[in-house]
Amino acid sequence: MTAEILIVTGEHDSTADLMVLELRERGVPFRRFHPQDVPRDARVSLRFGPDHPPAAHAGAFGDTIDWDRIAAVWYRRPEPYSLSPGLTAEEREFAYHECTSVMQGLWRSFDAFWVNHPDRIRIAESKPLQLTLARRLGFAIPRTLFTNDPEALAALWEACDGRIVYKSMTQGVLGQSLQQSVYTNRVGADHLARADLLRNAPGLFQEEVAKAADLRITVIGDRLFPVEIRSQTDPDARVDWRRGEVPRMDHVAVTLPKPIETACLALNRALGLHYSAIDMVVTPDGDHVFLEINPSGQFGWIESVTGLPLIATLADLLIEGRDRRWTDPIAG
Amino acid sequence: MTEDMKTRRRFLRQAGLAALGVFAVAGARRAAAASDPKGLFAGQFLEDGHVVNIPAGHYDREQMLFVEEATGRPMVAQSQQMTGSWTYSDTTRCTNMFYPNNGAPTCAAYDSDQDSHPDGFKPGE
Repeated sequence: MTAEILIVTGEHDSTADLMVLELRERGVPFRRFHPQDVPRDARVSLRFGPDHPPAAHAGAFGDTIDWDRIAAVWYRRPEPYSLSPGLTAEEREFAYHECTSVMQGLWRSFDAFWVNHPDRIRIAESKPLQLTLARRLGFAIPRTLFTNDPEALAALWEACDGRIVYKSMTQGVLGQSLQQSVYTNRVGADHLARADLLRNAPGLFQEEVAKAADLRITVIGDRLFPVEIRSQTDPDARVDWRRGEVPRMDHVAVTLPKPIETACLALNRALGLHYSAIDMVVTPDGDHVFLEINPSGQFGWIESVTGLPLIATLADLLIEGRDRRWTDPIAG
Repeated sequence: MTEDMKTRRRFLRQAGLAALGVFAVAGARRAAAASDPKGLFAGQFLEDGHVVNIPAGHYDREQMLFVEEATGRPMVAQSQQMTGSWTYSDTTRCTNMFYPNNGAPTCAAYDSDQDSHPDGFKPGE
């Protein structure tokens, strides 16, 4: 029986499309599955019994994936389930949770090499946990506050001489219906005057670190691809590089100091990740300051701008994981 | 005193910091409870996202790729597609695809969607 690689994502995912082309070029057997087809277009069945090991089949449009054949999974960017618009709000909520339960059961019950397991992703996305581990591993970190307390925010603002930034804690997009985003922003006195709004939702506030450049470190297995993003030449991108015209900024592959390299790999290990994108800042003094780690961070644009072989390296990792039958303790 | 410092002091007074001895904590909390704020702190930072127009397309199950409707070419084959930032798109995509046993898949209906893309999908610059 041929072991296969599974790509779990959405229909509209250009980075996954690049992996499809890469694996096809190499003649590697793979499948692609979109949880967004569940429950209406995709059928999912998990079978358990006293006389057989767990068995699972999933697929859509006559294409069935036998989970027994899957030895490595790239869990990319699945999109939300396709719930029937004919359901009431209560029915949709119930259906959503039932879909989540069966899909999480599928991910957790069957052994494979995961890049990355969704449970690992969920834990690794916690920014307080990231900062806890980063500090423990020797990274320099900025003063950071998670709070819904206006007084605590004011105290941080005072302590940092008014140079702090606001960030969202999740990838949740506020303003999607208006095609608007929340980037990292400097917090000014006018913003602080509305600190009472923190009673409706807490925020993440961080000391603003002076930048010479942003640093995006793509970690694939035990390989690191550090790239400096020269964001400071674009006025729109000085606080948050994503606000600027990213492909037009200089991207320069760099070598990290050995202790930073070691700490990046240790952070991935601590979080149970085989892939991550770590964001750091290089200060004008040449120091490296940790900002965050993205367990499902983007990398497609880095390959297209720098030519670094990120897709090929990730394909190597998936193939190696498939062949070694590496496992994750969640399922193992 | 600089303007910056004045502003900070002003804010600290507004926030009712007990540390400054302007309000008692309990009094400040009562005052806060009296006015129920509407909206989110994050709402102050909402700004227009990157919006791109993506040509009509659909997910081709045979190729396992998202393809442009007019040419059948994978959209990923176009250059400069990703920006790394959150991008919105006005996408025309197939909403009702027939997969006949014999013959090519046929799109029976299209719709315009507003999609969001964490990788800043941006074809055909």
